[in-house]
Amino acid sequence: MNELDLTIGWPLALWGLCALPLLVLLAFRSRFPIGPRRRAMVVLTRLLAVALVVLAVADLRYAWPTDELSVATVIDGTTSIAPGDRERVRQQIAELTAAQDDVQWVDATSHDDPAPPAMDVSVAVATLPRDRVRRMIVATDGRDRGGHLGAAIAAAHRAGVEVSVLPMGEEPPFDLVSVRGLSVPRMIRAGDRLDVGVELHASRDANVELVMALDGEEVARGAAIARRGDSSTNLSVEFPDEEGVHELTVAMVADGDPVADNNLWRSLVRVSPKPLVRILHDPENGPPVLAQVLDEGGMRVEVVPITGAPTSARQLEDVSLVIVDEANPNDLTEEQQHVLRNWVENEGGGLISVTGRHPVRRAPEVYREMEPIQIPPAIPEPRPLELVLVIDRSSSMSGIKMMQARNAGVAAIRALRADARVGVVAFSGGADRVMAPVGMDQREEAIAFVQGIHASGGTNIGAALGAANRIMSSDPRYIHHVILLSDGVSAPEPAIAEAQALAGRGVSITTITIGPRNDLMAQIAQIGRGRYHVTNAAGSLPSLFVREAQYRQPPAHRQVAFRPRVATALTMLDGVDFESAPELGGYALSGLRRGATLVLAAPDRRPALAHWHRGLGQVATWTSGTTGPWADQWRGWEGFRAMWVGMAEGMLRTRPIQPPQLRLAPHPLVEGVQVATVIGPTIDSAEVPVVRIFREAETAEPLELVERGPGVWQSEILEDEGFLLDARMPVDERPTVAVGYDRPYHPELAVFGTDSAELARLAAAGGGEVLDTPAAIVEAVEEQGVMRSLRTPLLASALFLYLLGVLLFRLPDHSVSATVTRPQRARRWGKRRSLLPEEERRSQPPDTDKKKEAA
Amino acid sequence: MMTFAAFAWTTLAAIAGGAALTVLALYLLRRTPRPQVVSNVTFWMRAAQSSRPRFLRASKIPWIAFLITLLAALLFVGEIGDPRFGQGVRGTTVIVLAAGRSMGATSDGEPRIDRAVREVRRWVDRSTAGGRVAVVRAGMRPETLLALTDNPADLERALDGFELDDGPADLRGAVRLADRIITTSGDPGQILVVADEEVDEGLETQATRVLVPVGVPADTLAIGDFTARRDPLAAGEYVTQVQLRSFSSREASARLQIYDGDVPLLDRRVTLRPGAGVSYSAQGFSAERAELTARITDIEITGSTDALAVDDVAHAVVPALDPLSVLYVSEGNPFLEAALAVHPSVQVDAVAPGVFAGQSAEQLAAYDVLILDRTALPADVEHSSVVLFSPPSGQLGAEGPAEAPRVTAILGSHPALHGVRMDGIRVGRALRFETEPGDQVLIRSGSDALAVARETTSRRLIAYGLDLGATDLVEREAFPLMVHDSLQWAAAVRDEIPLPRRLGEPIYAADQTVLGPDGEPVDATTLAAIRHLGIYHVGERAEAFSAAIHAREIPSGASAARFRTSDPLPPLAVLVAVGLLALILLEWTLVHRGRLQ
Repeated sequence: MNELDLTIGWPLALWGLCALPLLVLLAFRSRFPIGPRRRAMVVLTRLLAVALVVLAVADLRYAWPTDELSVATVIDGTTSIAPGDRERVRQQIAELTAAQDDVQWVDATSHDDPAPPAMDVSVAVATLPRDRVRRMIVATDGRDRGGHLGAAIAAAHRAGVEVSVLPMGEEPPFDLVSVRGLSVPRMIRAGDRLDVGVELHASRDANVELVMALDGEEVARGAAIARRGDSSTNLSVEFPDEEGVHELTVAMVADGDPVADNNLWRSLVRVSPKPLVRILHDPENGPPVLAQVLDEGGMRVEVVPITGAPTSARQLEDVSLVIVDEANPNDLTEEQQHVLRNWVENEGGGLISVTGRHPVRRAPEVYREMEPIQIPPAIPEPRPLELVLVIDRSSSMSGIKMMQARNAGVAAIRALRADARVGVVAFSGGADRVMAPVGMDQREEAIAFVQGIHASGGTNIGAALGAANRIMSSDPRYIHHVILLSDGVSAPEPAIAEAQALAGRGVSITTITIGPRNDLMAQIAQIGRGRYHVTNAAGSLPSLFVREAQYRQPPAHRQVAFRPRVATALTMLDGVDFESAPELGGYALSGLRRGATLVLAAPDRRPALAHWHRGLGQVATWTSGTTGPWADQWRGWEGFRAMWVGMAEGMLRTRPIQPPQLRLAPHPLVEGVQVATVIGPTIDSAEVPVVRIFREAETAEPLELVERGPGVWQSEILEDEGFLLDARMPVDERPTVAVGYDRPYHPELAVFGTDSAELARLAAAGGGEVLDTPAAIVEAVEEQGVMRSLRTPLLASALFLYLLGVLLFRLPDHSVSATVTRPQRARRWGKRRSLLPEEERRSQPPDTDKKKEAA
Repeated sequence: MMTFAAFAWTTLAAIAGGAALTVLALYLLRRTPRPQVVSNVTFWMRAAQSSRPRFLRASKIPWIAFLITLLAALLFVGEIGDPRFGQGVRGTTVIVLAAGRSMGATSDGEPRIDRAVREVRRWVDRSTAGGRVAVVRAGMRPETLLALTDNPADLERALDGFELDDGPADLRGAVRLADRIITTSGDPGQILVVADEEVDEGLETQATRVLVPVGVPADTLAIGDFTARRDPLAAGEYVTQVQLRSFSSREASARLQIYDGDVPLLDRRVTLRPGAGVSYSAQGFSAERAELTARITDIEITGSTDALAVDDVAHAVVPALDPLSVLYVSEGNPFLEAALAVHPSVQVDAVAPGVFAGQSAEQLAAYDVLILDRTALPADVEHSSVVLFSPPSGQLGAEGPAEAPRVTAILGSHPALHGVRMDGIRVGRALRFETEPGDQVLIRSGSDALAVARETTSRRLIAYGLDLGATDLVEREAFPLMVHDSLQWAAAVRDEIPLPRRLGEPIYAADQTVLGPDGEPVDATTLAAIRHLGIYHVGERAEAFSAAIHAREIPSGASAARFRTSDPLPPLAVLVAVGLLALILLEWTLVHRGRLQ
C-alpha cells in the first residue's frame, strides 16, 4: 500500500489555494512593525492555515491502513435452493459471526420479502461500513438467470468490495427431478406421429414415469432414467387430426421427488391440417382403395366423381394432392383440365394419375400434356391392312379442305403396303360414292376415285359408316381399319350404332376432325378403339392419313402378370421393397415422355410408374390399377400402403414463396417479457405477415406488430404461462411457421444444484474465490487503505496555526524595537515624513518629501 | 436553521469558548512597542527606557483587530463543527437519482440531471447532519451509487464519472432497492426520489417516499427506429429505414442524415406536423460491413427547442457479405464474368479448362465454389459446391439442346432463385437435363428441365442449361442476382439479419477485445449491460446498440411545476469556509496595510 495515498474529493476547491500567493504578496510590503524573521514565521503559519482550510474543503483523504474486516452475507433466496440448504448456510454464518466478533457483519439477505440475490448484493454494497476492509459472501447455486447476479457482483467489485461465493444447492438438493422442457416442433401436421423429447434435470440418477397428454387426453406413457444433470428421453406421440392449437403436457412422477411444482410441463403446439387429397374416381369402380390407404397414412381424403373435378382454382385452395384414380380422364372438361394444370404448374400442386384399364391416348390433350407418359409408340403391323377411307364431301368441306382431303386420301393409298387393300366411301347426306376395297394392283383406280370426290350436300356419318361396314370384308388375314374424316355435325345415334357395329366386327376406327373438337367423332374413335385427331390445318391431313394407313392402333393395355422393376430409386419411395412385391395383373400401354423419370418399369420397359416435375408441381402416373383386379395381389402386399403414402407425401403441394421468420428473445430490461421479431422474406414492408398469439389452445388474438425496419416487425409479449405464435404471409391461407415460449412454472424451479462453472465465473467477477466454508472469508485479510477524511484534523490544525500566527503578531518583537527607530528604517517601514521628529524632518531634503507624498 | 453535523452544540460551544478566550488572551498580550522616532542622540537612552515592555499583559486592546480575530476563530470552530442548513434528517435517507435518458433533457437552460444533482447534494448535505444517506442510481439497472455514509463529501467522489444511461430509468427497481437498503440499515428512513417522472404509485415501500421532481414540459424530435438489412433480391445492396417522430405539439423540422461511415446515403430536410411520425428509406451498396448512423440536426420547433439530444442519433450495422472464393473455369464468357464482377464479395480466380484439369484436390478445396462454364466436371472432383453453366452433353444427363424453349416455370421458392424474375425472357437455346430423384428443377420449359439444383450429403450443385450467348436473361438485372443466389446457395451461405440490439443487453466476450463507440476498451468479461448507444466492436464483429426503441415523449415533470423548489444554496460548510478565507484575507490585508495596529 502506498503510505502517501492521499486523494482529493472536490478538486474544484483547490482553486482556493490561489489565495496563498495573494497572502505572500500582501505581506511583501507590510507596514506592520515586525521583524523579517517574525514576519516570515507569521506568513508561513498563515499560509499553512489557509492551505489547510482549502484542503479540508476539498475533502483531502488519506488511505488509512487497516486490516479490520467487515463482511456482508447474501444468501441466495431463489426457490431453486432447498430451505434446508439455506438454513444450513445461515447456521454456519451465524456460528462464524459469533466466533468472529471483531469482524463487522452485515446481513444483506432479504428474509421477509425474498428479493433477487442481485438486489441483495447491491444492498450489501450500500450497507457495508466504508472504514474497513470490505468483503462479501454470496451463497448461491450459481444459477444466474439473465446475468443479473454477475452484473451486480461485478459492480460490487468495482465499488471496492471483494466478493466470494459459497456453493449451495447440493446439501440437500432442492429437488430430485424436474421436467425442464419439451423438445417438439411447434408446427406439426395433423395425424403425424413424432418422438417428443422430454428434457429432464435431476440431482441424481432417478427412475421416472412419464405421462404425456394432449388436450388432457393421455397419448403416451413411458418410463426412463433421469441422469444426474440434464438428460432427455423420447415419447412417441400421435398428434390429432384436428387442425388448430393443442396443449401438450407431460407429467413426471419419481419416487422421493420432494417438489411437485416442476413435474409438469406444458407446451402449445400448432397442428396444421392434414394434407387434403382429392381422389377423382369412377363411381362404377366402387370405393377407391387409395382413400383408405391415404386416410390411414395421415391425410384427409375427399372422394369425388371425376365429373365433379374442380372447375375453379378456388376449389383447389386447400388441396395438396389430386389423384385421378382409374377414372377416364376424357370425362374431364377442358376447363377442368386447365384448372388442374394451372394448379399444378403455378401453385405447386401434386397430381397422381392411375390409368387402370383406360387407354393412354392423345386425348384429353391438356391433361395428357401434364403427365410424364404419352401415348405408346405405334407398332408396325405384320398383317396386311384392309383400309376403308371414309371422307366427308359435304359442302362445308369445299375449297382447300376438300383438296387436302383428296391429297390425304391419295397419300394414304400410296403409302399402303403392296399386300394391302383399300376402299373409299365419300359421303354427304348419304354414302353417295362408294368403292369397295381393292388390292394394290388397282391402286391407281382407287387414287382416281379419291381424286374424283367433290364437295356438296349435307353430312351423314351414320350412313357413311354403314357403307364402310358393308364393303369391309371379314377376311381374318387382314387388319380392318377405317379412317373417318369429317368436319361437320351429324346425327349421333346412327353414327354410334354403325361404329359399334364396325367395332363389333373387330374393325378399328380412327377419326379426324377439321376444326373444333367434335364429341361425336371422339366417341366414335373411342368405340372403335382408334385415335381421334383434331386439326385446324387441312395441310396436316395427308401426314395423318399416311400414319394411320401405315400403322394401326396398338392395344390399350397389356393384361399380363408382371412384377415391376425399379428403374430409378425415388426418395419418396425409400423403404418400399419392390423386390418383395407380388405380381400385377396388367398395365396400360404408354410411353415415357422426354424429361420424365421412369421409376418402375413394366417388362417391356414401358412405364409402370413415371414421375416428373411440371412447373412448380409434380405429376406421376401409375399405369396399372389400385382398385380393380389387376392389383388384387398388390393390395395385400405390405408395401402397397407404404408406396402410396410415400408417393403422396412426396408429391404434396409445395409453397411458391418463402415463409416469414419468427424469433423470440427475452427483453433485456423487463423481466418476464419476450420480444418477438418477425422477418418477412423481402424488404417490402407493405406485406405485413399475419401473426397470431395463443395463450390457450382455443383462444387466438392477432399480435400487434410494430414496424422496425424494411420487412421487419417486432412485438413485446408478456410471458405469463407461455404462448404460441403462428404466422403466415398474406398470400398464404394458413400459418406456415410457429414458435412458442413455455413457462408452466417459475423458471427458477427448472434446474437446480450447484453450477460450478458459473460459480467460478461469479467469483472471478467479484475478485474473490469459491469458498469451501464461510470461515474462509475472514482468513488472509491483508492490510488495506481505507479512505478516511482529514477534514476535522485539518481544520483544527488550521485554527491552531491561525492562532499561532496571531500570537506571533502579538508577541513583542525585540528586534524591531531595537532597530527600526532610525530615520532610514522608518522610511522603509513606510513612515510618513510628518511622523518624524522635527529635527529629522528638517535634515531631509524637501523634494524627497513631496515625491513621497505624491506617490 | 442550521445544524452542526460533526459535534454537538455544547461541544462546539465549549470549543468556541476556548477559542475566544485564546484570542482574548492573545490580545491581552502587550503588543510590540510602537516605533518611536527619536534623534540619534537620545535614541539609546529613550528607547531603552520607554519601549522595552515590562509586562506581557497589555493594558489596551485594539478592538477591531480583536473582533476580527475572534470572528475568524469562531468561524474556524464553526467549520470544524461541519455546519449544515436546516434541522437535518434523522435516520437513513436513500436518494434515488434518476439516471435515464430523459434526465439529459434541457429544462430552464440546463440539463435536468444538473438540477437533480444539485438537489441530491442539498439533500445529502441535510441528511448527513443527523443520519446517514445512500444514493441509488436509477439507470436501466438500479445500482448503489453511494453507500451509506454520514459524510456529504462522499457524494462528490461517488459522482466522479457519473453519466446518464441512454436507456430508460428503472425507477421502480431503484425504489425497491432503496427500500431494501433502509430495511437492512435498521434505521428509520425515507426514500427521496429525484426524478422527472412519477414512480409507479402501486409500488408499496416500507419507508416513506418523497418525490423531488425536476424538469418541465419539453419538446423533442426523435429517431423512433433505425434498422437496416441486406436486400435479398439485390446482391450487395442494403436498405435502411429510419423513422422520425415528433413529440411536440408544434410543427418541427430537421435535417435528416444517414451515413455509412463517411458516405452519405440520405441528406434531406424533413418537416413533421405536431405529434406525427414519418419514415424514410435509403439504399446503400457495399459488400463490406456497413456501419450506419442516422442523425437529425438543425432541429427547429416552432416556438420551442429540441430538449433531448440523445434521441437525435441512432446506429445500425449491416454485416459484410461473406467473401466467396470462386474458381471460374471457362474459355471466356463476358456475360458470366460481368455478373461475377458485380458480385461485390466474390474473389474470382479464372482458369482455362485445360488448367482446371490439372488442379489437385487440395487446390480446389481452397475455393468455396467452382463455376464451370461449358466445361465438364470430372467425376473424380469432389468439391462440395459446384455451379455449372451449359455443361457438355452427358453431364447431369444433359439431353442435348432445346431450340427456342419457352420458360414456363421457375422454382421461385428455391433460395438459388430467390427474387429472380424471368417473365418473358427469350432463350434461343438451352440444354435439357434429365432429372434424378431429389433434384429440384429450377427452370422448366414445359417438361424440359433447363436448370437443376441437386443436393446430396456432400455436395450442392446447380446446373444451368441456358446458353448464355443466346438469351436476353444476361441483359437483365435478374442474371447477376441469379448468379449471386446460386453462389450463396451452393456455398451454403446463410443470410444474417442482425437487428440493432437493445440497450441493456450485455456483451459477453471474455476472450475478445471489445471497443465501445468512442474506441475505448469495454470490459466485457462480465455480463455488464450496455448503457450507451453506438456501435461496439467485438473482435472483428460490429454490433449496434440502439435506444431508438425508447423514443417517447419527454416526461413532463408536471408535478415539478407545482412543487418547484428553489435553487439550492451551496453547502453551508463551504459558505463558512469561503467566509473564513475571506475574513483571513481581509484581516491580513488590513494588518499589512497598517490599519490594524
